Amino acid sequence: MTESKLDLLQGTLDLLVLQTLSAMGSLHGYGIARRIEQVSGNEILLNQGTIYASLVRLQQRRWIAAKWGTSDNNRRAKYYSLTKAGEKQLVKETENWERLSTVITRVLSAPVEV
Amino acid sequence: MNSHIRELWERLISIFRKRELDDDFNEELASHIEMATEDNIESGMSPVEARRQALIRFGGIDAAKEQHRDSRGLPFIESIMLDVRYAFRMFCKNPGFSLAVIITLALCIGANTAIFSMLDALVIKPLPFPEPDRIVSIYTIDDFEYYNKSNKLPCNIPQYLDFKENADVFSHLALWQNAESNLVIGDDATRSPGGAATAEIFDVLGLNPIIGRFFTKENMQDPDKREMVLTQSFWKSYFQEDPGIIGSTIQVNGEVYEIIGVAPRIFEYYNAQPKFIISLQWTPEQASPQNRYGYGSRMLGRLKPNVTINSASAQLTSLERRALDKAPPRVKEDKDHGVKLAIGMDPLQSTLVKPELRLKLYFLQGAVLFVLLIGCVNVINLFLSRSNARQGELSIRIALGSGPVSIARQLFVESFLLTLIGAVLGVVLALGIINIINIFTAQLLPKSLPFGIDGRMLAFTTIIAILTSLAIGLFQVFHVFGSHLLNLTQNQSQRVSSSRSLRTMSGGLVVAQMAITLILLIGAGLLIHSFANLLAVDPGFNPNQLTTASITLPDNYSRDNRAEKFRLQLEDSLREIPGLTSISLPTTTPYTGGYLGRMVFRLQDYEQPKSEKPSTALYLSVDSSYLKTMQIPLINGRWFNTGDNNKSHPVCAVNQDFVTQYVPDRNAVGKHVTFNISQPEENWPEIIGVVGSVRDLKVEEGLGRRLLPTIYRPIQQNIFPLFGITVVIRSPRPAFEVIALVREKVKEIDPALPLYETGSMEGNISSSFNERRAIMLLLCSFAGLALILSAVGIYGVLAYDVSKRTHEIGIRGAIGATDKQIINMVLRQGIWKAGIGLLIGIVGALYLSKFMTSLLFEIEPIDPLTFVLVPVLLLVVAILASYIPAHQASRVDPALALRAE
Repeated sequence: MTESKLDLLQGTLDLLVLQTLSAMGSLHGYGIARRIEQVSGNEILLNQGTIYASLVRLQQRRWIAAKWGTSDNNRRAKYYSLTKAGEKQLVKETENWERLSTVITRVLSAPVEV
Repeated sequence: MNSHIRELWERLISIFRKRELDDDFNEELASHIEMATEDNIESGMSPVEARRQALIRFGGIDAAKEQHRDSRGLPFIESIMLDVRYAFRMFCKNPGFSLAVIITLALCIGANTAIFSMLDALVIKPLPFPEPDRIVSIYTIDDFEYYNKSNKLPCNIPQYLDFKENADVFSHLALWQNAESNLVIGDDATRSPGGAATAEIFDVLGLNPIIGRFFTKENMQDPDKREMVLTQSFWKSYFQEDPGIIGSTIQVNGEVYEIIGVAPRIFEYYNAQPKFIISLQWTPEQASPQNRYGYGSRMLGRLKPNVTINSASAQLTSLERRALDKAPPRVKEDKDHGVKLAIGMDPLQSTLVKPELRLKLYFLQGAVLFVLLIGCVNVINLFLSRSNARQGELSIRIALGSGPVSIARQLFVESFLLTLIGAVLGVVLALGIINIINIFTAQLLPKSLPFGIDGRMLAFTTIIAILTSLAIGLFQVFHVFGSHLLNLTQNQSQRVSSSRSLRTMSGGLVVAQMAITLILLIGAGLLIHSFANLLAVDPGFNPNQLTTASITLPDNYSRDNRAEKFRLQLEDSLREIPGLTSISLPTTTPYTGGYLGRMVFRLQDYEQPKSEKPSTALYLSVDSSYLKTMQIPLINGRWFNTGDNNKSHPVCAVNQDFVTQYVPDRNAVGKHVTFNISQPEENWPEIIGVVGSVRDLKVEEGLGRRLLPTIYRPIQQNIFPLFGITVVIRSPRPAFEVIALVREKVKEIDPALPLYETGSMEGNISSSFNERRAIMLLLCSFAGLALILSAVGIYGVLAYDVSKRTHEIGIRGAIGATDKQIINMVLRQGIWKAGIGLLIGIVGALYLSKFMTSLLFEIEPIDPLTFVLVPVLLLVVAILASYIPAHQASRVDPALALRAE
C-alpha cells in the first residue's frame, strides 16, 4: 500500500529532477531541491534529503552524470547534468505524463451516466 | 530494457563499493547542509538557527542515507549477505559442528552424484545422435530359448534384403555384426574388436566422417574392394590422430584393407568396443531364403518421421509371415510348432544396457538416496540441538526487532551455506568415485564409453542440495517457532521442559534413521550371503594351476584341413615346453570367453512331450586330454581316446546334469543322440561315457538358475569347421610364464595369429563375478556409510540429552542412584529408540527385499540368516553408541551438578 504511493512519488520526482537539469544545465543537489521548491511555488514540500535517492537512481540509469566541482562561493559540491539519454528520457516521460494527466482529467470530468 | 539491466548491474557493483560511495555521499550531504546554512544566514538568521533550519528542511540525515543506500544497491541481497557473513562467523565459532555437517553432506551428496552420473550416462541421457528416438534395434521374436532368455533373436541377411525392398517405414536400414578380428599393423599382431556393417549404418546413426570418407553400398557387392573406417579412439590411441594414415593399409584376418576414413567419437556411444568398421559382405548363398532362419546380425533402422514402433513392427511381422508361407514345409512346420514368429523393435537406447543391469543401477540409486536421507537426519538433529543452544541469541534478536521472516531467513541461509559447501566437496568426491566406477564399467560394460562430469550431473547435485537445505531449514524453522523457544518471559525451569518437543522430534528422526539403515544393511547382507554362496560353488573341475588362452583362425585356415593340422602342430610344439603337467586344445571351455551355445538335440527313444519346448544342451568339442587336464571326474563308461576320430564311429559323452534332466532310467551309456534330425539314426553318435557336471555361472545366469546339460564331442568329429582353439594347460608354473612360452610357440608357427584372452582359470572364474562384486561392493560401502552415520546419530542425540539433563542426573545421584542405574537409564533410551527403528526396518526390508530376487544367488529374499544377524549387529552398534553418553552420565558429580544451578 505504502509502496505504490512511494512509486508514484519516485517517478514524479525523477521527472522533476530531469526537467530542472534540462532547464538549468549543471546543478548540485541543494540547487535542484531549491529550484523545484521555487518553481512549484512551494506547493511541493519535500524533504530535501529524498532528492538524493532520485539522483543516484537517475545516475545509475545513465540519464544524468555527476562530477565534483566548485560552487559560486568557492565551495566543493557535486554537480549533476543531463546526458543525451537523459534528454531523450525527459521527452518520453513528459509525453507520458501529459497523456496520463489528460486521460485522468477526462475520466474525472466525464458526465455521470444515469 | 537495456537501462534496467544496466541499473541492476550498477546496483550490484555498488554493493562492493560501499565504503567509497558512503564517503562520497557524506561529503555531498555536508556540502548541501553548508550551502543551505549559508543561504539561511544571508536571509538574516543567526548561524545556529540557520543550521537548524537547514537540517529541518533536509529532513533527517540518517533517513536520507538509508534511502540513498537502498536505491543505489540491492537491499534484499545486502541483508542476505549480512546473514551470510553472520553465518560464517557462527560456523567458525563452532568448527566441530560445521565440520560434522559438511563432511556428512559431502559424503552423502558425493555418493549420490556419482551414482546418478553412472545411471544418467548409461540409461537416462539420450544418445547424442540426431533424432535418437527414431533409431530402433530390430529383432526376431521366436520361441526357442537356446540363445537367451528374452527370445529376442538377432536378424539376418535375407531379412535385411526383404525389409529393405518391401518395407516403407524406414528412412535407412542397416545390419551390424561384431567382427572381432586378427589385426596385423606393421609387425604387430593383435586380436581386436571391430564391426562389419552395411553402409547405411552411418545414415542410421546420422554420422559424418571426421576425415576421409565412409564406405558405400558398392563395397557390399564388390568383394575386392576392401576398405575400412577407423573409430576415433583407435585413431587417437594407435595413430595419434595422424590424418596421413588415410590410404595406408591394415591386415584384417589375412586380407589387406585400405583405411578410408575415421568415424566421429559419437559413434562409440553406439558401441565403444570396435576399433574399426568394415563393409559387411555376403555370398549369394548367405542371401538365399534358406538362411532366413539362422540368426547372427544386429539390425538397426531409422524410422521415417511419424512412424511408430508398433506400426513398423506390424509391417515387418507381416513380411516375415509372408516369407514363412513360402518356406519349405519342414521349416514351416517347425516354426508353426506353437510358435508366434514376429518381428519386434526397441528404441536403440534401451538395448544398449541390458534390462537386468538397468534395474541394478536404479536399485543402487535408490540405496544411495536412502543414505542421503540418513545423513540429512543427522544434520537436522545437529541443527536442532544447536538451535536449542541458541535460544538466548534468538530471543535477543527478536527483542531487538527482528521479525520472524528475518529469523527464518537467517536459519535458511545457514543451512543453505553448509549444504552448499558440502555439495561442492561432494562433487569433488564424486569425481574420485566416478574414476573408480569407470574402471568397473570398463570391465562390466565394454560397450559403454567412460563418463564424467557434465551439466546434467551438476543440475542433479544442485537439486539434491537445494532439497536438502530446504529440509534442514524447514525442520529448524518449525522447531524454533513451534516450541516456546522465543518466549522471553519464560524462566529456567520452563526452558528445561520446553526441550521435550525437541527430544520427541530428534527421537523420531533417530528411529527413522535406524529403520532405513537396517533396510540398507539387510540389502547388503543378502548380497554378501549370495556372493559367499557363489564363491562356495564347486565348479566341477579343478581351476587351480590351470592356464588358458584363445586363438581364432582366419578364413584361410578353412581349406585343406589346415586348421586341424595347425592344432596338432601346436599340440606337438607345446609338449616341448618343460614343466607342463597336461595340455588340452578344445574349441572352447567354460569361463574362457568363448561362446557356449545351447543347441537343440534329439535323444534316441526319448519322446518329446508335444507341449514342451525342444530339448537343448551345451555343445562342447574337446580332445582326449580334456578330462585329465580339467580334472573332471568320469562317472560312467569311458572317455574319448585318440582312436575316436573322423574315421571311427561317431561318439559323444554327456554330463551328469544331462542324465538327470533327460534320461529317466539314469542309464545313458549306449544311447544315441543327434543335433541333426535329418541324419539317419544309425549314424547318430553313441554316448560312451558320463562325466561330472561343470557349472558355468555366467551361462547359468543368462539362462536363469537351472541344470546345465552338456554334450561333449571329440574335436576330430566336430560337426562345425574348426575356427577357434582354446589352449588349456595344467602346470605348477605361474600363468604369465606359461602364456609367454605359448605365445612364442604360436608365433613360430604363424606370426599373424594373436594369442588373446590369456590368464589363469582362477582369474577367469573370479572375473566372471565382476558385475556382482561391483554391485555388492557399492551397496556395502553405502550400507557401511549408513551404519556409521546412524551410530553417530544415536550417539549425538543421547549425548545432547545427557548434557541437558546434568541437573536431573545430579539429583538422582544425590538421592542414591548408583552408576549402574544411571547407565541403564540412558542405555534403555538408546535401546528403546533403536528397537522401534529395527522393528520398522524389518517390516520395510521384508517388503523391499522381494525386489532384489534377481540379484540373489541360492538364497531366498527373506533369508533367515541375514534377517537375524543384521538386526543384531545394528542393535550392538546402537548399544555401543549409547554407552558413551551413558558412561558420561554416570560420571556426573552430584555436588557439582547441583551447584551449577
